Amino acid sequence: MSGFILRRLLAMIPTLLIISVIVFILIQLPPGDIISATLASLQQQGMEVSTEQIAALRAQYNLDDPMVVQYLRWITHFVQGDLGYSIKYQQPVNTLIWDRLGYTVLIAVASLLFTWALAIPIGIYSAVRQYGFGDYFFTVVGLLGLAIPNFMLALILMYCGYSWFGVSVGGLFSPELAEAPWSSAKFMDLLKHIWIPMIVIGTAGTASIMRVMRANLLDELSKPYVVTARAKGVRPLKLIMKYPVRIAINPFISTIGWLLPTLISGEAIVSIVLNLPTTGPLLLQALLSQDMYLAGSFIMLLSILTVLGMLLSDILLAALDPRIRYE
Amino acid sequence: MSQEQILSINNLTVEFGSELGTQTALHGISFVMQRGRTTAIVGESGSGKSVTAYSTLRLIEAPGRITAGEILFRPTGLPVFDILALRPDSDALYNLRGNQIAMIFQEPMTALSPVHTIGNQVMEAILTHRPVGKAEAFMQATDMLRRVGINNAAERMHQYPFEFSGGMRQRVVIAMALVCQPELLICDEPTTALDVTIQAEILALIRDLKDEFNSSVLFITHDLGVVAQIADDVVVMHQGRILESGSVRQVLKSPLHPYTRGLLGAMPGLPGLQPRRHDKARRLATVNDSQGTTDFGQHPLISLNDGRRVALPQAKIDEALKP
Repeated sequence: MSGFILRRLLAMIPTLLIISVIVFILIQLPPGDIISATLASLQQQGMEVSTEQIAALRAQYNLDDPMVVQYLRWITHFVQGDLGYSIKYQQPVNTLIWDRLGYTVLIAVASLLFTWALAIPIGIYSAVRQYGFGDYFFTVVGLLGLAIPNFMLALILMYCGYSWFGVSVGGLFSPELAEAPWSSAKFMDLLKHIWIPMIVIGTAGTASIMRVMRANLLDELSKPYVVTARAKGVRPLKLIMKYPVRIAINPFISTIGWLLPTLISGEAIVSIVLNLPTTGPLLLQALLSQDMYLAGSFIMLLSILTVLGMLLSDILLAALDPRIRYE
Repeated sequence: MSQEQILSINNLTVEFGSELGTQTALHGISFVMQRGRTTAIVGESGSGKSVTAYSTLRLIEAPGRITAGEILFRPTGLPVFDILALRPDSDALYNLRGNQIAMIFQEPMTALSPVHTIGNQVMEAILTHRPVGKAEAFMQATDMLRRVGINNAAERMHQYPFEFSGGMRQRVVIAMALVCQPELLICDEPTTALDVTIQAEILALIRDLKDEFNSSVLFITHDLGVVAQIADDVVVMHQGRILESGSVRQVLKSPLHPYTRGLLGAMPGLPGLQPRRHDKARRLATVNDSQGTTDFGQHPLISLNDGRRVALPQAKIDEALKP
C-alpha cells in the first residue's frame, strides 16, 4: 500500500510538469501582457505614459525575456515556494492566495458533504421505492435544482435572507469580524454564513448524484447476492445498507478527484454574487488583467489539488473494494 | 398433513403483472414433500420450478405476486404453519429464511457479495439466527467450511469470493445455507453453472450433508441425469402446471405422461439407445420434436394406486399402463 502511494506520488511529478507548461503557454497566448493591458486602461482615462516608463516597467518584471526563460524562472521559484509577484495587486502572490485557497477548499468540502448527505439517502430511497410518489417527487425537485442557475439561487436566498430575517448574507463573515484574528466568535460567525454558499453550490450537484445513486442501486438490487442475503433472513434495512449500497457507492468515491475542480470553478459566479473571499473572483480578475504570475500560480495550485484528489480517490476506492489491487 | 410430510404445497398460484397483462406462472400447483427425502422438480425454462422454490421462502418480488394457495411447513417438534399466511415483516418469516429453510442458488459466481469476505457472509447467517458472539460464530463458520471440503478454512474465511474458483464458491454457498442446520434445503439448479466433474462433487456433497444433518431437500433442475443421481421423488412441471409426479423409479423408468417421455427422449445418451426418430437421425431430439406444441395443461392430476399422479384422462392412463 505505501509502495503504491509512493509510486503514485512520483508519477505526479511529470504530470504536474506538463500541466505547468500548458498553463504557462495558455496564459501567454492572448496578445499583449499585463503592461499593455494596464497601459490601455490608463490611456482610456486620458493619461500619458512615456515609452521610457513602459520600457522600465517591462525590464523590471523581465517581460522581454524569451518565454522559455520566463517559464523556467517562474517554475524554479514555484517549487521553492515563491509563487511570484502580482503586478496588478502589487503584492507577492503568496500573501494574496492562501487565505482564499483555504476558504475555497472549505466551501468545496462543505458543499460536497452537503450534496452527499442529501443526494445519497434520497437516491437510495428513490431506488427502493422506484416509481413511487417519493421517487417522482424527489426527481422533480432534484431536476429543478439542476435547472436553476446557481447565481439565481444565490440571489433568491440573499433576498429571502435579507427581507425575512433582516440579515446580510453575503460574504463569509460579518463586516466587523472579517479582519479580526481567529476566535471562537469568528468561527461561529463563519458557520452562520457558510450555509448559503454550501446550499447554493451543493444543490447543483445533488440532482445528478441522486439519479446516479438511484440507477447504480437499482442495478445492484436485482443482483443474485441480494437474493442470497434475503434468503439468509437478513432484515431489509440492514441488507440494503450492507450489500447493494456498499457497492453502488463506489463510483462516488472514485470521482472525488473530479469533483474538486468542478466545485472550485463552479463557484466563481456564485462567489462574485455572494461576495465570497474565495479563489474564483481573484482568478477571474487575474486572467482578465493578464496578471501572469498570479493566474499561473493559482491554476497550478488548483491542478495540484486535483491530482491529489485523484490519488485520494484511488486510495479510498482500493480500501473499499477488495477486487482492486495496488499492483 | 401427516408427521412424515415436511412441506405441503396446495393450490399455489403465482402471477406476474406486465404491461401486456397478467402472466400466470403457477396455475394452482399442489404436491407434498416427505421428511428426510429429496424431491426434485424438473422442467424446462419457464415451467415455474424456480418460482415454486422462491415462493417457499416468500422471495417473489413485484411484479410477481402469490395470489392463492397455501404452503404448509412442519418443523420437527413444532406445530404446522402456513408460510403464505405469515406477515411480510414478521419474526416468524425471518426466522424461516435461512434458519428453518435455506436455499442454494444457481450462480456461485454472483450469489456472493464481491466486497465482503467469505467469513463475513457465512458468519452473517449464524449471527442473524443464533444468540452467539462473533468469536463463536467464527468457530462455527470455519467448522462448516471445513465440512464442505474447504482446506485452510480459518485462513480462507478472510478471503474474498474472487479468490475462490467456481466449485469452491458453490461450496461456500452450501456452507452458508447449512450453517444453521435447516430442516429443509432448497437447491435451485445448484450444479447448472458448474462443469461436469465439479457437478458430481457438489451433488455428492449435498447428498452427504443432507444425511448428516437429517434435512429434506427440494432440488430444482432441468437435468434428468442429476435427478437420477440425487432424487427420491420427482415432480415434472410444464408451463406452471404439474404433469406427473411419483418416485424417481416410477417417473424415470415408466413415465406415463407423453411430456415426461419427451423429456427423457431429449436426454443425450449412447447412440443406439436413442428413441427412433423419423428424420435427421443424427441430431438429438428435443422436447418440441416429439411433443410439438401440444397443450398438456388442461387435465387435472389423477392419483393412481401406486402413489404417483399424472395429468391425463383416465382412458389414456389405462392405455399407458398396458404392458
